[in-house]
Order: sequence, then structure tokens, then C-alpha cells
Amino acid sequence: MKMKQRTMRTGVLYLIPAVLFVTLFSVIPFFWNFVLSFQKWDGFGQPEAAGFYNYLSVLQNPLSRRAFGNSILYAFSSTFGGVVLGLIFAVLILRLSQKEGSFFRLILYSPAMLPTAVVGIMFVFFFNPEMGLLNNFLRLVGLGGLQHVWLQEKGTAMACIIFVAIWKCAGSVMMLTFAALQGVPRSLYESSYLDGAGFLQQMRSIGFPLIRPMILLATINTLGAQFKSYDLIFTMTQGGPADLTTTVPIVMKKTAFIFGSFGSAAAMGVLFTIVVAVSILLIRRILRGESYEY
Amino acid sequence: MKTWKKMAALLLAAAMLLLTFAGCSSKTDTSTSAQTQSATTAASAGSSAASTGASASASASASQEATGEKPTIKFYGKCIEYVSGPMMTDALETAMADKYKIDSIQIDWSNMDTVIRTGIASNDPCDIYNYPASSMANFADMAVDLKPYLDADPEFKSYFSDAELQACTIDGKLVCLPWESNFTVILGNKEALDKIGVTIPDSWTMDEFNAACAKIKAAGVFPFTNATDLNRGAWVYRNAMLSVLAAEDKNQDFVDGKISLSSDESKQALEATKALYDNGYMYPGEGAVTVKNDEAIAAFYQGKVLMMPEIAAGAKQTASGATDFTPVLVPWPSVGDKGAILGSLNCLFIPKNSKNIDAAVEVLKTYLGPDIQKIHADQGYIPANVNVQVSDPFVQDVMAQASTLKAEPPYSSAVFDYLSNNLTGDLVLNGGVDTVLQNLKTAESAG
Repeated sequence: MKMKQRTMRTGVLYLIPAVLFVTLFSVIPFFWNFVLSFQKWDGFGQPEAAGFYNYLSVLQNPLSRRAFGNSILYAFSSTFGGVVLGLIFAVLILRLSQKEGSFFRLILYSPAMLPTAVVGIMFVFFFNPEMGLLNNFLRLVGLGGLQHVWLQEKGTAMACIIFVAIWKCAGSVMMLTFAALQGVPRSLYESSYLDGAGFLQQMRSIGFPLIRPMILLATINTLGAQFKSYDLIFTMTQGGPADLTTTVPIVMKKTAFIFGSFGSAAAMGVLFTIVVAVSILLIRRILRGESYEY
Repeated sequence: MKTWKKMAALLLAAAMLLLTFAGCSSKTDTSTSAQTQSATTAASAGSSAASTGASASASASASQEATGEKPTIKFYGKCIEYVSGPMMTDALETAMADKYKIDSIQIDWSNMDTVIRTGIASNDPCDIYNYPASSMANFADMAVDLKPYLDADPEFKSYFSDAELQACTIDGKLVCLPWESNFTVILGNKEALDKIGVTIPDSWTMDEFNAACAKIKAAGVFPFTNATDLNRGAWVYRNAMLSVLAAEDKNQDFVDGKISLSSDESKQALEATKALYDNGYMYPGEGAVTVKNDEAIAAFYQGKVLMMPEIAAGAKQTASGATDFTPVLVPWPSVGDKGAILGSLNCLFIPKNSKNIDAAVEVLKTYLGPDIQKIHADQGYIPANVNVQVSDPFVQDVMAQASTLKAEPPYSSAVFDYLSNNLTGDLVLNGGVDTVLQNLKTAESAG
């Protein structure tokens, strides 16, 4: 009993710095932001009470509504693409030998290691209509008709950013799901092989169900990161052209620091938090299933 | 071994805790980090900014003088885009070396609002900030009224014309002082235009301009371009709007706020602007809405586009980069029969919670004085100091363009942001004239 108490005391002691850190930089700002969302404040002087005015102005502002729509589209599309691609990579690498697997894991994970701003600038050049790699390649192979002004056209601007986001996040999903797939006992695959199951059927019936918790974790992590994304979109298009690729973080920053409306930005943050929370609950519901011990 | 591990873990935890609190410190010795403090810490300090600013100013100077240390004046006005920018700040530092330590900070034009807001809200602002006079309404309440200082110093007041001081006055307060006059001009490729048979007139209407553009386009090059970064996105529209108003003699009504940006005049200007994009006259064609200033300049030098707008202050520098042809000045086309161009003043203001207001005024006087402003003029720019003469013939031609300079009303942040960053995109890609008029109306009511 004494040992247990001492262990608990030691554990609490070690946890204090982390708890303090999270409290100071996450919990307190969260509640402060919530309070600010009911106030009118331009960054100077004293805040004034504003009731639900900020929430109404956010919901009535067409730019804010478009930004929410863009954020949801971007987050879900890039998450879906990243998870699917990551799973495919993990499955393909599973069949390789140790050395080959290591090599390909490094190659496929390297986009995730690059700074996001660098990736954004790199792809701005990639998509440049005049001197970009993509248009020049299309011209070279005789597909000049498929050339576009990728980051300017309505139909392609957001799609290009989503493509880059998928390219960047698939590697992380791959690493998580590959590690989980490696933990599945080979005996299960062998016995299914004896029953006549092919590789795809093995993955569908054995591999993916058993690693479902890891897929859920990877999906939630990726979704949260994509909702928060600011640097990639800002470096590639600055939210433009017009507001075609403007997302909530960009509008929040503009509303607070350029328009001087910190209350509205805070209200937007609270509403965005609700959207993200609902999205995560939705994903948990879709991907819910039993956990197996093996 | 177990004890050793426990001790190491405890020490590590303690070190991390200490680092956490050290990172929260608001006292910095570099000015740039002061500008980028997070909104969380900035906001909590900012609520007491107004009340503690004045007392902090006096006590900071007094304590520094008491210890024999020179006060540091943070000067957010180093414009590296100009050749003269670093030269002027170096000269300022040298001139004031006996009295003050001048910390010259590079202007981040794209993030000026953010930098200034967080700086002032953190209660550790720069002592002097650069900002355009046309947008000073955003910070008028936080700027020191410089009128008493100028009234007490006739020599200082003589640096500026009445019109310049008027442009810097809001509600009777002189909220800033100009260091540079700036307006928009168009540079043209003389040889290429002559070859195609386009004669540059002293003035031309939008219809005449369109006819010339058609001729240039038929020759296989782009006639015109307009960068969408550096707040230049709506230059074509803003100039068109001013010329529509000039034709109806309504510019003063516009400045007084009697004509909105969703008016019929605005509609005319938007239609004229859209026509340039729809007719394919804007470089690089389909990418015209996202072209950056560097790309536009490169295309101009390469002869891919024959006319490009530029800020008057930078016109000589841009023109001097053209080695294969002679750049000439081209008048802005007017929608009506009277020319009008967009112009403003780049100014310097002192925030009310500056720690060294009196010292900052002294620094302003030195920086805006003829000695340092002559450096600006000698490099081919247009200083606001009326006592400084410009001798460069090209710059004198540029200054002559200012005869049709017209003022705009002070735009709110929301309106200015929409004009600079969204208007052209909405006009060309996202709904057209009606969408833009609706969004301008929304932005005006939000401001």
C-alpha cells in the first residue's frame, strides 16, 4: 500500500510539468478564447460585451461560410486520400523484404519529413502555368491540351492543394498502419492461405479488421492536422484566387490581425472547434468496430 | 541505478518547467521578436496599454538617462525594397549616434497590420512605425497627435506642404508625417510599341487604350499586366474608379464618403477592368489573376508584356533594369474624359504607448529632414520633404504624372483587404461585377 502511494506520488510529480504546460498553453487559452468570443475587442483598450453578435456575424458572413465549406472539403478529401494511399503503401511494403522495405519506407515517408512551407513553395513552381514541371511535362508528351493554370482555375485550385496535402500526409499513415500490420500474426495469414484466400482477401478479411483501431487513430490524427492546416494553403495560394481556397484558419487570422476584430475571430474559432469535434465523432462512428486480441 | 535514473528524470522535469516559464518572458532584446509575440500574451498586456503607456514612456527614458545608457529607439521603417532605404536608416543611426541607439527594423509590407497591432497590444511597440496615410484610420486612436510638436517647431513644419499635412490629419489630429509621396504609373516598352505602331499619347480613354491593346495582342505579345501581390491587386479598378468620378467631378464626394464602392460609378469602373481580362490583354492570359510582381517585371524585361504598372517611387529602379529597350512613361487610361491616378503618402507614426515619445519625435525630425531625404531623392525616389529637390530627369517626368493625382477615402481594413486581395479574383473568376459589388457593399458595412 505504501509502495503504491509512493509510486502514485512519483507519477503525479512527473506529470506536473506536462499538466502545467498543457494548462497554460491549451486549456487557459481555450477558455479565454471562449470568453473573448462574446466580446468586441480590436486589440487595444478594454473589451466590450457583445453577446452573440460575433456568432451571428460569422454565420451571416458569406466569406466565413465559404471558408467553413472549404475547410471541411479540404480536411475530409485530403484525409480520405491520405489514409487510402497510406494503407496501399503499407500493404505493398509488407510484401517486400527487409532491405527493400526499408528503402521504400524512407522514400515514401520523406514528404512527411519536409517542412510544410517548403512543400508549398515547391509545388507553386510545380504547378506554374509557364515554367512549371507539370505543364511542361504535359506539353512534352503531347498532352498540351490538358494544361491548366492549376492554382488559379476554379475547378483545379483546391484540387491541387488537396493533392499536395495527400502527398504529404500519406507517409505518416503508411508508417502507423505498416507497424500495426507487422503485429498481425503470420499464422492467421497462413491458415487463410490454406483455405484458398488470396492476398487481397487476406488484407480485407484479416489485416484491415485487425488493425482497425490503428486506422481509426491515423484517420483522426490526419483529420485534425488537415483541419488546422494554414501554412500549406497560405504558401500556395494565400487563400486565393478570390476566396476559392480560403479556409477558416486564414479567415481567422485576417479577421483578428488585419480587420482588428478579435471577438469575431474567437467566435469563428469556437464554431470551428465544434465542427472539428463533430467530424471526429463522425469518423469514430463510421470506423467503429470490435477490437481483437491476438 | 534506479535512484540515479529517478534523479535524472526529476532534474529533466525541473529544467523543462524552468524553460516553460523562461519562454513566457515578455522582455526581449530584439525588436523583431517583440513584433511576433502571440496574441495570447499580447492581448492580456494590451488591455492596460493605454493607461500605462505614458508613465512607462517617462520612466523608461529617465531610468536609461540615470544609468548613462543611451535610449534605444525602435524604428520600424527600413524599406529594403528601395536602394535608398538602408542608406537612409544608416544615415539616421549615424546622425543620432550621440544621443540614441536606433534599432532599424525592416518593413514587412505584407504583414504590416499584424506587426503593428501585436506590437502595440503587447505594450512594447516600436517607437516609430511606417504606414500608408490612406489607411491611418485603422490606428488613428493609437497614434500620438503630432500637431503640437509641429506647431512648436516651425522648421520641422516647413518640411511639409499643407496638402501633405492635411492628408495626414484625421479628426483634427495630425496622426502621422509623410516621408514619401507615392502614386501609380505605367512603364512602357518604347521600341516594341513603336514597332507595332502604337503611339503613346499624353492622355487616353479606356476605349483608346483597348484599341491599342488589341493591336499589341494581334502582334503576339501581351499589352498589359497587373500584379496581384504587394497590395496592387485592384490598381486597375481603383484608377478606373477615380477617373469615372473625375469625369463627373465627384472625387471630393467620394473622399467625403458620399459615394460608395457599390455605386454605379464603381460598376462602370469594374466593367472597364473586367473587359481587359476578358479580352485577354492581361499577361499571362489565364494566369493573370495570380501573377506576382516579380513575374510581371520579368515578363516586362523579356518583352512578353509591353506595359506594366509600377509604384512611382520604384519606377526608376524598375526602368533601369530594362537593358534591351527604353522604358517610357505611359499615362493611365481614363474611363471618362479626365485623367486620374491613385496616390498616397507613406508615413511614419508614433504609437501612444511608445516608451520614448519625445525622443521618437526628435528621430522623426532628423529622418524627415533634408539631409536624409536627399539620399532618397538622389537615388531616384520622391521624398515628401518639399525642401528637397529632385534632379533626375526621369524622376521629374514621373513626378509630372502626379498632376492628375486624386485621393481616395480612408478605407477600413476589411475594404482594403478585399480590394487588394479578392476583388480581381471575384471579378474575373468568381461571379463578375455583381458579385464584386455585393462583396464591396458587405465589406463597407463590416468596416
